[in-house]
Amino acid sequence: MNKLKLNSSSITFLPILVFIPIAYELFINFHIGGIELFKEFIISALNPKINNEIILTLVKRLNETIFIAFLSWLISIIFGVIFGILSSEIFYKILNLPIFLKRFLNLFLTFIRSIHEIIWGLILMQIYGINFSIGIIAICIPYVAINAKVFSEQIENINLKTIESIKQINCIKSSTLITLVWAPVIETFKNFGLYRLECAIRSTAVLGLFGVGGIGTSIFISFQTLNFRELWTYLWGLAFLIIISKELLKKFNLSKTSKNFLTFFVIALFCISLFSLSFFVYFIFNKNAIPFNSINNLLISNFNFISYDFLKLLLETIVLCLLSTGIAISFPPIFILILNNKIGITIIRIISFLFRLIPTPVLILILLMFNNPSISLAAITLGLHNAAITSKLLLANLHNQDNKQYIAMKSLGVAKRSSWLFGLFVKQANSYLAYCAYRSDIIIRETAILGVIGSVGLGWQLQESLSSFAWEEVIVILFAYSSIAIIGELINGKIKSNLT
Amino acid sequence: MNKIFINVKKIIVTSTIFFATLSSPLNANPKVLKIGAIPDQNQEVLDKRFNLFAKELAKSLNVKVKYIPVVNYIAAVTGFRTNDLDLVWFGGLSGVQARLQTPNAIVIAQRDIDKDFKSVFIVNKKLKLDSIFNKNGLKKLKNLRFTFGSENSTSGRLMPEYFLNDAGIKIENFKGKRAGFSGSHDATIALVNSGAFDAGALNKQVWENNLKNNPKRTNNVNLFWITPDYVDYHWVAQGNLDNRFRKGFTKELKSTILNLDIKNTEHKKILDMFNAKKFIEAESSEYKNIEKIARKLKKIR
Repeated sequence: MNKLKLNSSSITFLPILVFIPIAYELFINFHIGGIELFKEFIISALNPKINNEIILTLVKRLNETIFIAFLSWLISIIFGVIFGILSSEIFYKILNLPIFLKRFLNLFLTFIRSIHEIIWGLILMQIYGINFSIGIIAICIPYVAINAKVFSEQIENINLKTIESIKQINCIKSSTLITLVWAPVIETFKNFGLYRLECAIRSTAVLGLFGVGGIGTSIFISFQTLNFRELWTYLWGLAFLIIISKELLKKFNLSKTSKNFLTFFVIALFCISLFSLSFFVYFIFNKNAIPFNSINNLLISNFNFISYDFLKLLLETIVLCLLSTGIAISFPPIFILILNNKIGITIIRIISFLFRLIPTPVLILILLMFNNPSISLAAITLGLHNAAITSKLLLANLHNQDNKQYIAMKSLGVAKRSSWLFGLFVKQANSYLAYCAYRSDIIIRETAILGVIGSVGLGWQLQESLSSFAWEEVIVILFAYSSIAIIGELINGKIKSNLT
Repeated sequence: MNKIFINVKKIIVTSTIFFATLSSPLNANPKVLKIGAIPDQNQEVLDKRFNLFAKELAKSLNVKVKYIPVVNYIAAVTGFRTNDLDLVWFGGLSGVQARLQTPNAIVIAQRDIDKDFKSVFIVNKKLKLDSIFNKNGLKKLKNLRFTFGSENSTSGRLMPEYFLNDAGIKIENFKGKRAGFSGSHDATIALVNSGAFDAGALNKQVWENNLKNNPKRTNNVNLFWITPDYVDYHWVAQGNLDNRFRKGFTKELKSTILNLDIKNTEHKKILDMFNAKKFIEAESSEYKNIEKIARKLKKIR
């Protein structure tokens, strides 16, 4: 037997070890109290409520969701590209601007990115009330920053020599910039930007759970009143929306466009960005007079918060991140390895689709039927949801990969699983881990939502502080969140640069 | 083929601009009386109740009235503070929170039953716990899985927690050192009935309604204890309604609500949905005790 070597493919399997403490805690807290409810939940999946009234509500809610998701996606892509260019080195090199501006901008973007859209939503809701625009702005803020990061990373890959040579011909600076940046921006948009629409739809759904509107609100209300048949009508509606939007965008082929359309497209983009900016400004200044004063009033209260409890919550949040990241990394390859045949893969696809579809807050509520609230429960929920996302990517990449080696090994008589592992998976391990590192950035932010419902960590405290309208506590918690996320991002950045 | 795609793209882009313009806040109508309510029960019940109520108000006040459902208690309080809601059916605690945050807010009315409101503690039958006659018996709930209603509910959280504390039980004494928050009174019954939680506390009104109308839902639940009484729900309105609608509007609004008469068939429907015989005058001073308890339990700081 060979010694276990620490390479990237073994690293993807090792985190399964976190499952031991999780399974232990889940086992002690297990009870079958909720079995009846769970049965009802499963049966309702195949028997959703369908009548005129609910279909009308569903359509209305879906419209709201599409509206919020699509608009926020579009705005966040446009501004993501703009900020992406502004925060890439090339921009400063071409225009000869001081580089400290870039660092300043990056710091700012990192901060906005570090706070989950739900939290932005909850805070904006406190200031501006219940409003559609809240959803759009709440999603846009972190999305712009995330998109900016991805776009700027791609733009940084441009060869510096090209810049020098273009500079030599002395052409106009702005056109140099556009020529250079165009290709990577379009490429990233195709690979990453389109996928963000799905994320925006999901974020809108989750934001709805906190009262912003759209399908999420209906999902949450029907779940809370344990009306499972209605819940499934809405869930299937959401699934339909996600699938349709993906199919539609697949047809959206940028490279084959006529010039006419391109001009039209650019004008439309310009209008939208102008409109969204003016809307944003109008929104801020139109409403600020009353609420900002009342927020000031709220800030006058006693403050004795940073304590032992707070540190405990902070630690809980970090543990939650680590555990769920472990699950998200190791579950997909292990399950694909175990169920490595056509039926098995189909089962994995279906299950992971369901885990992606059901919003994590609803998922944890379902699991709470069988378990007392604990960190492990939150970790397994968050881990499974994210494993569903990583497994989708892994399966897609494995599918697209050239499988000559796998077939060769199999025909040499190597066992099917070993040949999968050494023939197919090994090649993917690096990029898979790099993606998981990026995913763990998101997991850190998502602990906030889970905490709110599963009563663990800082998220729970945030909910309690928000519902008591204790603003200083909210500010301290946000600060703590944002620092965990920033530290996480730094560590992940190091890991990623080691992998590539 | 390519042409079709271009059309799809054109449609997407133009419709975005179109929708964006339509949804602009410039189109908001200030002459609509927006009513809201804390979501303490099934949404269907609330929708029916408040749409009926809105229709009646619109008829007798001759203004447009719109019921805006909200997803949680915090949203109701916030919506009231930010002027998104003009008249809200609050619980005791949420009403006090809303009034503290919204200067000039006016208490309009409460139901006849709100002066001496009660909560009930319920337990799953499998535990074979007998009902108790004074608060000291609450100690039997130690080490059980316990759920409240919503975090900011008066009858589902604040008062039950107060009585528990009074009996010497802290949240840490429950299983898992935490109590659950089911989100609504109906959900508390369902969760205890299914066994997902061993015990819970809720609004007595909702409990009795379920016993009467949905005996199936309460099959596996026993009544454990009925709390002493306290004041609860009330209608709270913005202070600027006279300026926005017409002189004396708040007074008209108040008398419309107070004059709902159980002998009138239309009115009876509304009052039945509120489980009340009539609405009565209410004073903000009646809620001082709720505020004191809320400050003690840190729900108001």
